[in-house]
Amino acid sequence: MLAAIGVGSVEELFSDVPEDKLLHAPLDLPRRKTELEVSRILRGLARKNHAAGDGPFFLGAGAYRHHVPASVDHIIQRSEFLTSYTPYQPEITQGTLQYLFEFQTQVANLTAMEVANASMYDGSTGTAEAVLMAHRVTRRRKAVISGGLHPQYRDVIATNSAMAGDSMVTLDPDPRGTEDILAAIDGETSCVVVQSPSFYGQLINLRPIAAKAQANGALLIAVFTEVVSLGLIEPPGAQGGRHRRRRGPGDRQCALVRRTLCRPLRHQGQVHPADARPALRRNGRRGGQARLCADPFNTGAAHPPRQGDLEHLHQFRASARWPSRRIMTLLGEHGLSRLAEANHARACQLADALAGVPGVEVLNECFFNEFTVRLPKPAAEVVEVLARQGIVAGLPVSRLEPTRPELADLLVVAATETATEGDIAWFVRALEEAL
Amino acid sequence: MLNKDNRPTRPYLEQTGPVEARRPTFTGNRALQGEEPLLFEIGRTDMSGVDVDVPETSGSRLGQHRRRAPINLPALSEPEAMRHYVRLSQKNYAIDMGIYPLGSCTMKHNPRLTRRWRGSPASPTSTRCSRPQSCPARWS
Repeated sequence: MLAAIGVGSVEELFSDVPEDKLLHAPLDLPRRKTELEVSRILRGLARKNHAAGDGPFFLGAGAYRHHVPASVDHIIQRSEFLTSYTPYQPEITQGTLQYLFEFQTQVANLTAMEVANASMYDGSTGTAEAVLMAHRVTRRRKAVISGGLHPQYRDVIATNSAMAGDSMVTLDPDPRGTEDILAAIDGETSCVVVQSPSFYGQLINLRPIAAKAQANGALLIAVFTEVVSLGLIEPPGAQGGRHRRRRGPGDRQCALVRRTLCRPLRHQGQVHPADARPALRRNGRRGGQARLCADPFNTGAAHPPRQGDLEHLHQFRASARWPSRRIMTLLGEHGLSRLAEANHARACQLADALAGVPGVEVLNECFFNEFTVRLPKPAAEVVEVLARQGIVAGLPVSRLEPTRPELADLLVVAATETATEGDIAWFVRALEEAL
Repeated sequence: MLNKDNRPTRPYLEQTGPVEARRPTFTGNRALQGEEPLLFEIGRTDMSGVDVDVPETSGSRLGQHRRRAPINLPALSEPEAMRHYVRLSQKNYAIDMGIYPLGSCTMKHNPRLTRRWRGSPASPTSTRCSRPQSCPARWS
């Protein structure tokens, strides 16, 4: 087999792995331990950690701390749902298939899109997949990337593009949402990737971008990392809806919902294929829909799914554990709207309080539950000072944009329903002292 | 409704009256009956299974971005949601019921201790890769 693929040895096959990362001896694992011993060790290790609930917490930047009702934990721990594998056998997974169908319908309604997928790996790879899909649909190879897109999402797209030889026009980081992305869209553009609320928290009007994209035969890929925002702000599907009756590739839009609707922070970092959820708006042609569904979410199925065919939903299935799905069911429209109001109210309180700190400037006029402030000194230093007092102040932009000194004094802060007035007062007082 | 022709997807839903009364048993209890209506057939958009307090604030920073159209996202109360998902779970075969020898994804038993610790608030997965460096997340 080695000869057939043209390599001389197993070592050569894995030559991409750096030499010092290779394992040259058996793993040095300790002897078997009892459950009690393991439990004791883990408890000791856990004590070293600072968890999100241990103090005031204003970190978001793509994953947000939300209250998770106790019943959600109860449901997701049922072993019938724990299976993280694709339900290849519909006859023994009807429960999973039904909740997936309900979930996709919920996401489609929430985003005002017509088609919703059930699982991608995560938000960043899902965005990159959407770009690949746009290239296939438009038969073009140039993506225009907003400066408000999460830097890690941008980097994943860049990795894909570099490997595939596609081109990518990336606008400069755009904390205030003032970039001129319309100027970057031309007749060669395959897709425009815009995040709203942006990485910096700014709410972006997608309508003119959708219109310009459509006029040029390009797709709009609307990304958002905070699903709760859709309880209060206009969904992407509604912001290009005026054009849905016309035909042509420009009618199709793609929105990506990241996995953060109340997904407990403790579930982050798990290796299950997670649940970024691309939703699609099609132009009314059935064939178009099937193609849009089947292309990006290729799971090895031999044929594209048919509308209304429940059994074929299993093709999209990867993870059975969706806390967010159960929370959407508990919240409903009324609850989600109130949750979103609570998030926005707390963020407004925080913005007002921070704006009162000498030397601090709030950069965003319109935001949901997150915004960016300019500090009079490097944000990373301030964050570490506050962290030593038990306050997680947010994300210094320099953490993700280390090569841009002009962003070093920017701090992205988020306030969800879990933040209290006491948390905000504590944060503001500590910040005043730190500055 | 999911069906664009407004056609109910369960025959008994064509009857009028409260949802409970429309079910085929007197109490609405369906015991081990396999049929479970879709969430969109039993949920309501005017209530919520979660209480949320909205703090008082002055003004909004949403600008022109406030949602205008309804979402059509039905909710179930907590006991309703529990029953809905438990009934759905009973339509699944699972590793705790027997062997699950599924091709490349053959399932193994996970000691329950891992569940307990993975869900612990202080477990490394509850912390963030973008946390401050002074707030460590250690696993060794």
